[in-house]
Amino acid sequence: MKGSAPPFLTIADAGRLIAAKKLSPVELTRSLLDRIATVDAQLNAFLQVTERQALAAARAAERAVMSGRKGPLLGIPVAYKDIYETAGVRTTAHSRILADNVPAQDAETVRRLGAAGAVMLGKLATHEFAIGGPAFDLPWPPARNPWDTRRFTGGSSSGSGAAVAAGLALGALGSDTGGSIRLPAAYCGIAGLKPTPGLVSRRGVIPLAPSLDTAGPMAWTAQDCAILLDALAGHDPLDPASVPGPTVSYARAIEAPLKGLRVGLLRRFYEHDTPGSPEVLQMMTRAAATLRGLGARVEDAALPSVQEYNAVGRIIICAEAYALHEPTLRTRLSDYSRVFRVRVLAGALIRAADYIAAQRRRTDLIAETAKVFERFDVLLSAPTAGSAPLLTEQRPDDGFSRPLETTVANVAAIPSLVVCGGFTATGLPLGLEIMGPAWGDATVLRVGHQFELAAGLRGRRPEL
Amino acid sequence: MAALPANPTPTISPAEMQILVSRAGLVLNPGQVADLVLAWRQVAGLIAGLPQDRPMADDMAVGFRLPPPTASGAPARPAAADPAAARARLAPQPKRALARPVQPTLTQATRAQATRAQATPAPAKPARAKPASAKAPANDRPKAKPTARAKPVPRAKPPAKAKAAAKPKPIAKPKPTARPKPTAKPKPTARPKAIPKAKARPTPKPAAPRRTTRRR
Repeated sequence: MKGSAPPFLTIADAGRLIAAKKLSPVELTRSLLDRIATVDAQLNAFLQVTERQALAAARAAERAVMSGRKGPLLGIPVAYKDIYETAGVRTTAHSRILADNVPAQDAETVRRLGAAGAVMLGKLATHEFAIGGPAFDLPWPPARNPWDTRRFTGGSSSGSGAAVAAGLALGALGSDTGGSIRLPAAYCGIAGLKPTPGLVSRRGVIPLAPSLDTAGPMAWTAQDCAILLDALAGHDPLDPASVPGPTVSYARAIEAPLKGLRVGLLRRFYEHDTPGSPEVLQMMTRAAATLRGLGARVEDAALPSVQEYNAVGRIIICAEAYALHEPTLRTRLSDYSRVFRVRVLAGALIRAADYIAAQRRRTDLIAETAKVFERFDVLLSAPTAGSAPLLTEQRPDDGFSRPLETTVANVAAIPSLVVCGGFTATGLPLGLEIMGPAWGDATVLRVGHQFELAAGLRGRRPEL
Repeated sequence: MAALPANPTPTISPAEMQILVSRAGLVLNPGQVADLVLAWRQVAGLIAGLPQDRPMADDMAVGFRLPPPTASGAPARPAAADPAAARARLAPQPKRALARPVQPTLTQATRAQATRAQATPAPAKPARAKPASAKAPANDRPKAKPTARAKPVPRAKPPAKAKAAAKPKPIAKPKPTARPKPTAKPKPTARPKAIPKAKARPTPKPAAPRRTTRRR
């Protein structure tokens, strides 16, 4: 069975086997490197495989295990979206602009996972500078969806979604400015957490729009995301946006039952604002019933429209991304992909007054969202209107013309988790989004974990 | 689709667009201009949806503050942001202003700094970023002698405390007690010589050329 083969183990299971000395970190790493060599040509999930470093780190982890060290991430192979700086390993942001960029230091998140014993397998595909969209005019092709390689992975953490779903890495890091962790999680059928802003350091992660950027974990299950978050979360005094968050073990917090939890269904989001397909609507009904079965109280909830959050988010992203790239756009415009140019150049025309108006409206939306969490512990919605579309259906201006439901959590500065909520008749995964109040990361992970256990959808993997 | 509040869509003529593009230092070919026009139409529509009728006095609304996490680790209930309350909080409070310490003059601060430097020659330390609280200018330092008129503020009295407050907080880590207790450590004699391989381990492939990095 696929689930018991090393590449398809969850981080929790692999960690237990390693701790019990029933699984060697070196053998686990080798099995993943072999699978990358076999399968990744179809997926383009990796931009770079750091095989030698991975095996060296795995050997070190094995020595640590033998000497009695324990830890849930010790010897666990992971990979990083190529906007995470890695000391001595090229970090390109999937762009010609940084094709030769070799950072001297690790991003703080990479350092933390390394210190916890995780093994870096390599660097993963992204949309150019985490915004571009799937582009064919870059030095590396876009990642493909392992459930159907003609289809889009979602973005921008495209390689992270594809690699985890295909069993090329047990976990990955992504970044999320408008949905970039949660969209690939939804389309690739994995779990992805956009944490509360400030909980996870962004130092050493190439920024897109600092007002909205968050770094977060992606893995096969919510439980694995919780294990990764335990290592990632914590105050980083060198990141001005970092906040001393709650001292909590996320991996333990998720075990609490859901009895009495107040769940709000954002029905208007998926029925009206970004209307879901019939299969999405059925999936939401089933998810609500599953949570009711677990003892949660599920009622309808309402927030301002997705379009309102989206307008604010898009204006901020466009203006801030343009501001960051303006010097390079002046000198190397043609080195960017066309999709990037379409999505960012308009930032040159956004007036300061409009940018400030967007920030002011954001403040209202944060307050209005927080008010709803006085009545509910979590809010439930559908992150996408359907399953993964074909890569050829993607348009350069999609970022503006199609509102993204996921942007709500970025604008509202709240944590949001996407887990696999079901499958279409053709076998493509559908995502379920769980949002919580600021600092409610443990609660959203708990709901995701309990839902996954009850729904029993984690036994199915893409055929490759 | 939900309708956004109706505002006039900001228009921009091709000539204006050219001026703005030139001012930004960009040189676009006709295809790139066409892409920009396409994108701008979409962005302009989004801008038109933003409410523009906010009272001028409400400009502090640009800032926001997340509620602090509770000590127990449970997610805090976010306080409903109330712009009026926020304004009240930000309004100047005369009584507190009176209690403020009189800032030492620059000369005094410089002298104090020089005295400190003479007393304890600081060893060379690697440059380290400090949180904003630690970046107070020299004349805010608690060790600086207050002027004769000034009463020492309680905060500045114990310099050790004030110094501690200025130091960056240690990185919050999950407490070891919060983790599940590991099972009893295996005795050294019980250690296997090599870790047994996983049962489901795939058959090793013929040695492929090992590379440090693979590039596509």
